[in-house]
Amino acid sequence: MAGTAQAAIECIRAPLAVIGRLFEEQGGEYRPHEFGKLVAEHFQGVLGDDGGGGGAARIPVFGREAAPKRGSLVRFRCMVQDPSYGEELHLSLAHVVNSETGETQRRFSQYTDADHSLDEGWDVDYSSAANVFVEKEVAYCVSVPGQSEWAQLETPAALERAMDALAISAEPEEASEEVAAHKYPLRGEKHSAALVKFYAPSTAPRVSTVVDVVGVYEPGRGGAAEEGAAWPCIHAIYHCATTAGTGLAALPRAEYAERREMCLAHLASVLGGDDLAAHYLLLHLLSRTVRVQDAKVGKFSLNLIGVPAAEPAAATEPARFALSSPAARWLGDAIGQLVPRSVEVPFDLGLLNRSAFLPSAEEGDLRAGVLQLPPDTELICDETCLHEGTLDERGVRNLHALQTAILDQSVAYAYPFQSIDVPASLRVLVLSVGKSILQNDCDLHLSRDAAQFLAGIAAGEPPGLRPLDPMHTEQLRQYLAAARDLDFSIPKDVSDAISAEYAAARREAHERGAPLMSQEELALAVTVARLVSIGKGCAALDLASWREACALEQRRRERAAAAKPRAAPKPDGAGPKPDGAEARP
Amino acid sequence: MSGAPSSSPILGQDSDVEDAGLDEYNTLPETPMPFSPPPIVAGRGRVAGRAPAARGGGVASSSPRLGFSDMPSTPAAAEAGGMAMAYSDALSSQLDSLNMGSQRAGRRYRGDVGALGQALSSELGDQAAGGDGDGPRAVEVRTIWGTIVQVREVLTSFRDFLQHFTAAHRPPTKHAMSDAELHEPVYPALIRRMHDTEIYQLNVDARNISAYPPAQALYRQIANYPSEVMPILDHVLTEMYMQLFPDANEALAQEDLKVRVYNLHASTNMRDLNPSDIDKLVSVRGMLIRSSAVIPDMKLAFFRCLQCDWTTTVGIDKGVIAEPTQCGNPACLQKDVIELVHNRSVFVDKQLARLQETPEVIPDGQTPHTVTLVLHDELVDACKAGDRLEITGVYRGEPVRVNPRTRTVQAIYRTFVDVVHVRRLGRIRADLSASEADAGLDVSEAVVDFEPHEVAEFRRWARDGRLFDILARSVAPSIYELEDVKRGVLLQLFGGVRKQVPGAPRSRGDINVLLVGDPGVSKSQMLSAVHGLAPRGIYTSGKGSSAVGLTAYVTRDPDTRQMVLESGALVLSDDGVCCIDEFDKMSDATRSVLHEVMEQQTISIAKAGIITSLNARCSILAAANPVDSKWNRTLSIVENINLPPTLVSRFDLVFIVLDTVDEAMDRRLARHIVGLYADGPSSAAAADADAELPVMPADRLTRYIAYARRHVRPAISDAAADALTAAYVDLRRMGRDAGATTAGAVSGAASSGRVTATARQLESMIRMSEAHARMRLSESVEAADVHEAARLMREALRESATDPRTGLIDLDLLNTGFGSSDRRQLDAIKRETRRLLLGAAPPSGAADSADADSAAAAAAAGNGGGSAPYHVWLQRLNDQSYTPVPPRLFDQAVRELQTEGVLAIVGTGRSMSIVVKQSALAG
Repeated sequence: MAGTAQAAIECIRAPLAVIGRLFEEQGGEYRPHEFGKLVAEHFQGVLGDDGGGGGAARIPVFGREAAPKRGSLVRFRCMVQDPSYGEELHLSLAHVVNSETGETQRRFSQYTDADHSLDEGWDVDYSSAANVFVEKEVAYCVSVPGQSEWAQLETPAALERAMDALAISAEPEEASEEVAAHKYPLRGEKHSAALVKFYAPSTAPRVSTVVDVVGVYEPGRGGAAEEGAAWPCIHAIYHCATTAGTGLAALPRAEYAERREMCLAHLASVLGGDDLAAHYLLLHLLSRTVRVQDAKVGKFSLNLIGVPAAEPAAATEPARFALSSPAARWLGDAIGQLVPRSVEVPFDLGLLNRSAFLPSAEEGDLRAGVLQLPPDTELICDETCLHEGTLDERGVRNLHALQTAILDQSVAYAYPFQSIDVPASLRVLVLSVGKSILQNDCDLHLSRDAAQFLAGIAAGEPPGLRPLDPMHTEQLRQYLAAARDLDFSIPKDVSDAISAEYAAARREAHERGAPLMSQEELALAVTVARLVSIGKGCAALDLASWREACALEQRRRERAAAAKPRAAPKPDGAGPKPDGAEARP
Repeated sequence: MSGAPSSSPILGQDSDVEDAGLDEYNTLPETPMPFSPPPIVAGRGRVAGRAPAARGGGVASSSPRLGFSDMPSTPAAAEAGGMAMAYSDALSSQLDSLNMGSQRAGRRYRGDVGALGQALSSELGDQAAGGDGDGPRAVEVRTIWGTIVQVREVLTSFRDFLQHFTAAHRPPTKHAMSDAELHEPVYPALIRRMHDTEIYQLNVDARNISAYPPAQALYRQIANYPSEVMPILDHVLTEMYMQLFPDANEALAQEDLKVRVYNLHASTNMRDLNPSDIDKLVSVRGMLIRSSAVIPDMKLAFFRCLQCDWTTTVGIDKGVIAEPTQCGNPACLQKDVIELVHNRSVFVDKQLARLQETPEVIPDGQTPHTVTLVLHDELVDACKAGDRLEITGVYRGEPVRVNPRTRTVQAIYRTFVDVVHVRRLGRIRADLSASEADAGLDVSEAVVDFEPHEVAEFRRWARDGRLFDILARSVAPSIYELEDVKRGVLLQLFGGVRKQVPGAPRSRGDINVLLVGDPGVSKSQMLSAVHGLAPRGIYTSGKGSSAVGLTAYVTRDPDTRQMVLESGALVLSDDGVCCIDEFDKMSDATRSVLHEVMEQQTISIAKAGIITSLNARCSILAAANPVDSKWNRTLSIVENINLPPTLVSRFDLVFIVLDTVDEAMDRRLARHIVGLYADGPSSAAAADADAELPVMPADRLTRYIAYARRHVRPAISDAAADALTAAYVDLRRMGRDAGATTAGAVSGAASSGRVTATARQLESMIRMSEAHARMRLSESVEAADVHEAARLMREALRESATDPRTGLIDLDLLNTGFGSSDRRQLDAIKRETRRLLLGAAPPSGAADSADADSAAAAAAAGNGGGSAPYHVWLQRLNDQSYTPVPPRLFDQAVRELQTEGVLAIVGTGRSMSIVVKQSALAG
């Protein structure tokens, strides 16, 4: 154990030395791809698996604390914002020749941008065919937008960091942590960013995906003329796609029911006792978009109607990406406790007009847009703070983009002469006073009690709720994450039963003259049934869940009908009117 | 050698020119690259140099040879090590005997082959000048250093190729050539053309080289060692040229003729360029997104002493221009009095550009890659942003110069492509002769965008008998049923054939489809599915568009600050499908634009000083809701659709999609949706009967459609022509036949006078048959295509043009808004109204006789044949008739009576009243 601990410390403090040693050991023919794999495996072995073993937790986390030393190992959980910085070639194995004595040497350098330093009298032999080039892909990565506090990477114990800081280092470098403001989706929010260089054979991940990168840190050159040189660099040794924060042990079946009850109770208390709303909110949190043929199924964007309106904010300070109205913030905080990534967008006119929701690459590099978010992010839109004013062209385009994201689950990146649709699975929750201006999958009116409760919060009364036990919160998070990932299927007999019911319902409605159940309503019902079923932990739909889903839908529709003001009876459309009072031109 | 006293380009300057290192690369002013070297300051002061050059000779190999991992590193020739030494010897031995050399001293060399090439080029030039006459130096076998390429071999094989390549070696498949043409050597003719047009470049198709048996090794050499081989090719070409035209020395004094090789065997994906491609000739395809301004690259700097006017020329050496610090005039010898004279310095053009991947090759969900291009000399400004190009060039790596002064080895290299040849990829023209003339100097065929295995696969699909069904299923697999709509939409995607007969207005080939129906029947989904499939298309919503946004609008260009015309949706979807949702919500002003687009296929603009007519040859797929938001069975089609009949008649297919209650269909639909919304692949829907039909994936379908549209132009065969006439006559006869069977319903009319088909329908049928033939990838339209098209048209008509009162198809409903049954009723109403107004006794007629007295009494008891408000008259008419009178028809009848002079309408709106004219009463 001591040996590995020692090796781990050395890997963290002086990774380049370790890599150099590995190179010497493997001797012989240098093949970049295999060497890259070898290095990755070695480091992963010494440092333990991500999230587990003592080793990985000791690696300092980039961006969460003071700047690490140049050349040390860092971890960075980041979202790939711009993978289009192209490829660079790196002269990793150079043959140098001494001009006087004629002897040759091999000079190896990788995972660093520094050039090979040469002593006097030595020169690079460019003509040597044994010079090896390695290609690396450069991507600009930012810290994950909307990451909840509890889902961040653990930084090593404070004591250790303090000990490291005490160590005598040659040059305490002042790294200039400059970040480019236009390359973070939530403009104005604090974040950290770095250029991550992926060496062959690994390639840069897709845009807007979240990865955990472990690599060698190099600070940017502060004050350099071009932007690129001022950014800090991380040379990735290995990276892995991150799972949503908490370890995913599969939950046993029995636990699902209990945790579901706990979750429903918690949500009901958050929403002031409205259990139907709690049901639907739970379904919303469990939803996940899947792409089937050419349609996106499984999405469930929810509109909660009845949240009290916020007061118009003072126009002095610019709006930020945080909910300001108390009621919305109450809801947003509660949800933020349960999901690893949530972004809040208040529909403040200034914010809508100023920000860009869609990423655009018209000006060279890819500028981030608000909708460039990692998959499975919860997007909470607060419509209650939308007051009178003008929405200019950009604002209209932003709303249109948001609508497309809700309906189609795709975000269009604007590139010169083309526009690329990147699938984005976002869960959108809209809080509004009346029906939302956006078209959502499901509209739910809050009960009167709930509305009063939230109004009370908005007025400043303390909610008087017991905060949830941290252990329970953890359990709820586990439950949500596990349930979301369940594979779902519908057995044939249930499917037949559903079809028969649908046909029968339509026939009856037709006879009664009532509005017919349309395809979309059926689709929504099936989605609700699916979410109810996985909430209970069942991977296959059974009739009981289907009935429950129909009952929920029925109650929701009744609420909607009750909330609608009485409409004037429509004139009978059968037959032309006998008195043509108005002459048709 | 710089600084040698001279006032004109002298002999000694050659070596300076040969000392050329790799050029400096300036940054693109707009594009921030992560690591870009500081901008170059040419002129005063030393220009920052490159990586330290190799030793010895100082002439060649000043570029770092970026390692080849696959080629032998030792020169196979046993002779003295390579060009480096050979150069110096050759030069020094030839300097004195050189006249040509002096004339060529100021010459420029092509920038795209880099340093080595330039050195080689000049060497060859000198050799040509000096020693060409006395035959090859048999003793020396020159090899290019580091390769096994033998110079002599390359020279002879290329010369042989130029002189003896004929079209027979690579016979064109698209068009036939006569025997004489086939055996005539191609390139001498092209060289003659070069002389006539004074274009000093020759585009050489690399496939020609590989098709010519003795020169096949040459192809490999060009592809692998372009920097070395291309100067040799240039030299050969120049020789041949000068043999043919000995008087062309002045033109060639400045520079050599250039050979531009293109059309390599395989085009590389931008993502696949890796270090093993360095310094090789590659071919990439993409779209140009940005190009810099023209950058002047200094090659020869001209310096002058301020005191004594002594001048000197200094060439660029390893990226450095060594400005003389001291005047070289022995009489002057002052320091710091030298200035640079721009006018007499020699510059070459250079341009940086960025090439981005085209949308088709980007993998799903990824962002496009870009590659930097460097364009030299004549290629500068050859293409502009937005062009799709195929670039042939040399892939190079260049160190990122971060700190040029320290003695370090640059570890990081930036990559770019030195462009040799640019070819624009555009629409394939239907006639090859035009493209041939355009290719200029080459016998090449049209660019084929499709791989041969793809084409084979397409042909295989096309032979399947169930092709129509398969494709219809693949169009929007998540939408259930709507089979006929999918078929119609499929034909629209393929499109008919656009014909242009001289002297007649051009006939359109695009099919327009209108979908009307209840909400919730996936109309919008169908639109977005089509939008995804069509090669070019715009999706707009009727409510959000304006006439201007659809056609073209004038804006201010942000860069040049001038008024420019920006294309609107319809122009952008030229040759594509324009999907318009919520068609009925469009304002009338917007809709009026569509009239012109749908028939003439052009858009006329006259605004802001721009008067022009733009092509808008797009198909329109429109979705509309009925007037009451739900289809009202009792109203007629036109009333439901709420669109002017003139516009509706311009649509080839009108589909009415209704939400009917049908138990079996509902069941199937529910099962389909449930299957869609379940994750598992073993859902119930898969067990359906029509799972036997294979489904083509969406991207294959897009390629198939693109291929069919580009390569297939079906012509109507005789059998098809007969079938078309038969179908048309059938359609027209439907009116008469059906009328005969319901003779009882029609009183005293031999023919019902219904219109079932007009010439417009015939044209639509022709287009649809052509589209069907195109779908089968067949060059001729068969009778089967016509039958299918006719059936589809009849289906669509049956729904849309069926008169709800009589249940028969009446196309007049669509065309004018009034069916024949309407017209009969109109006549009856007119008769009755006239009687009512004039108070005359009814002549006969069972229906009205009972009320005749009361009617007359009422009329007499009324205002004595005078005036009464409009609604009163309508009420009276309704009271005395069995069936209610539609207000629309009453209105029409009143208007017709007004024109006949029986009555006059006074007032408007609620106070409208009808006044019976006294003249009519009397008569």
